[in-house]
Amino acid sequence: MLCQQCNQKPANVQITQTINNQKSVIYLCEGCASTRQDSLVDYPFNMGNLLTSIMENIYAISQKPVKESSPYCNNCGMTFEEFTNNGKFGCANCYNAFGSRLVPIFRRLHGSNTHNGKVPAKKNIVKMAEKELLSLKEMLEESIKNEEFEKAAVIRDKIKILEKKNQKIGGDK
Amino acid sequence: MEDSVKKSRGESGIVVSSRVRLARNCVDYPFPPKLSIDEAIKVVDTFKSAVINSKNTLSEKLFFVDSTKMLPLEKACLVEKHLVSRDFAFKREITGLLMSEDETVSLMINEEDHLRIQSILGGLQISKCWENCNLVDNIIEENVEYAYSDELGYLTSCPTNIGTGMRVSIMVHLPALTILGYLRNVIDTVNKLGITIRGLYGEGSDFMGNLYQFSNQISLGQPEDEIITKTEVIAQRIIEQEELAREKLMDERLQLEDRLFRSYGVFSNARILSSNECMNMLSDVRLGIELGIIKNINMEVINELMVVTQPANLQKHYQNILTPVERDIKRAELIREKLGGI
Repeated sequence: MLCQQCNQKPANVQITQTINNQKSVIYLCEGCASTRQDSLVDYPFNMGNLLTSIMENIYAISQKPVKESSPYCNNCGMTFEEFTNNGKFGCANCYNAFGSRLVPIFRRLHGSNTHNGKVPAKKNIVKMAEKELLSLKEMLEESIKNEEFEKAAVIRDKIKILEKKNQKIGGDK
Repeated sequence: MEDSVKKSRGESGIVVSSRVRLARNCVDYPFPPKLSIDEAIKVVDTFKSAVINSKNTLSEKLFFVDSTKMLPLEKACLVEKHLVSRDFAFKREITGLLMSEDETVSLMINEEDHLRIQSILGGLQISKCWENCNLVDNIIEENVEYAYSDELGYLTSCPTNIGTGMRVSIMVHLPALTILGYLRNVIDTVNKLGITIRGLYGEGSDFMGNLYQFSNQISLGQPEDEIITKTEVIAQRIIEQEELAREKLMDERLQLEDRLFRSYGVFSNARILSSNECMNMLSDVRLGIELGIIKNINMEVINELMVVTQPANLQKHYQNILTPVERDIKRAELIREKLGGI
């Protein structure tokens, strides 16, 4: 399609404008579009397109043509091919469904494939409790070894309470 | 370093604003592109009640807006104030919005992810923005189970956001680096450090008025505080570079004064001003004020003009739908009024 303003260059920018509540779309070349600052410009070069090209590159280099059918997510029905085409997942389960195929994408995008930041408090409580339980069990063993049975009894009670609490948190999840 | 250059640092100086946003999703529903209408309504309700019923001081500060029913002009005003994204404003599907009265915190429901928590503040205040977002996030997660994996962190619709789900952005005003043609070097350097540069309204938008948005690309593998510290350090380096460039411009003070006063003259007296021309002149006037060349104008007026001269906010100000030509005339009229032009 040619630019609707200069009618010379190919149109590669879509401009949506709303005048008197009437929405209209015009297609311009980049040069003409840049002179129209009043409109909110939608460039076709968005992150999704960039991602698709990254993923195409990764798979062109690292994978030989695969004859097996594309994996798909049994929760939302998204296929891996669909994902590589639009660069967006359908649901949280897609991450499991596409599994190791995603690792090179994460590494290319982030230089890493492991989270190292905030943990939701609920999950964090479980993790902390597990850690505490482990250290109490070590203390218990130590006290028994040293024949400090009174101390051992106190620790054992603490462990029981904590285990009950953990079960409850785990059940709440 | 010249005093006038030093003065330009600070609250409304080179770093115009800081922003942090967190991407979150509910574990119970597919991501927004795959949501049914019923599910989209449920997602909006989930987050709305998680915030409003939280019995926290936060719930008193945030109010809910049914963004699905908002007029396009109202949404465009929020885009211009950077409170919502353009993608959010253009969405036809069911969305929801929670905002604080002071417009420093906004929560977009059903944008690309179920929830985008955002905090925006003037000047270089990344840590404070993160604090605001983190507080909202903590309150919500008491009642909502997020899509989260121990290995990959917060799971998002787009793989560019997984992990922390965090994007830190600073909007910087770099007229001197732009005028002297040094910006390319700055961009190349920060790109190597995992920082990307975007236009005024984020991804794919234009550069206007020597304003640039720098933001982190990496969200997986680095903890939040590391991303924040890195961006803060980079912001400081960018400030230093701009200050050096401003000093260099001040070497030719007469030429600089001539340029800035010409802009000021046109800006405060023009009869027709396009949005782009206005942004470029605002940049010159801002630089003039920061360098102490242009006096008698309060920076707050300039900050206000930066928002109210944008197409949608201008129409809101005049409470009228205006054609682009009418807007250019009203824009010039408003500036003359504010700056006491002839």
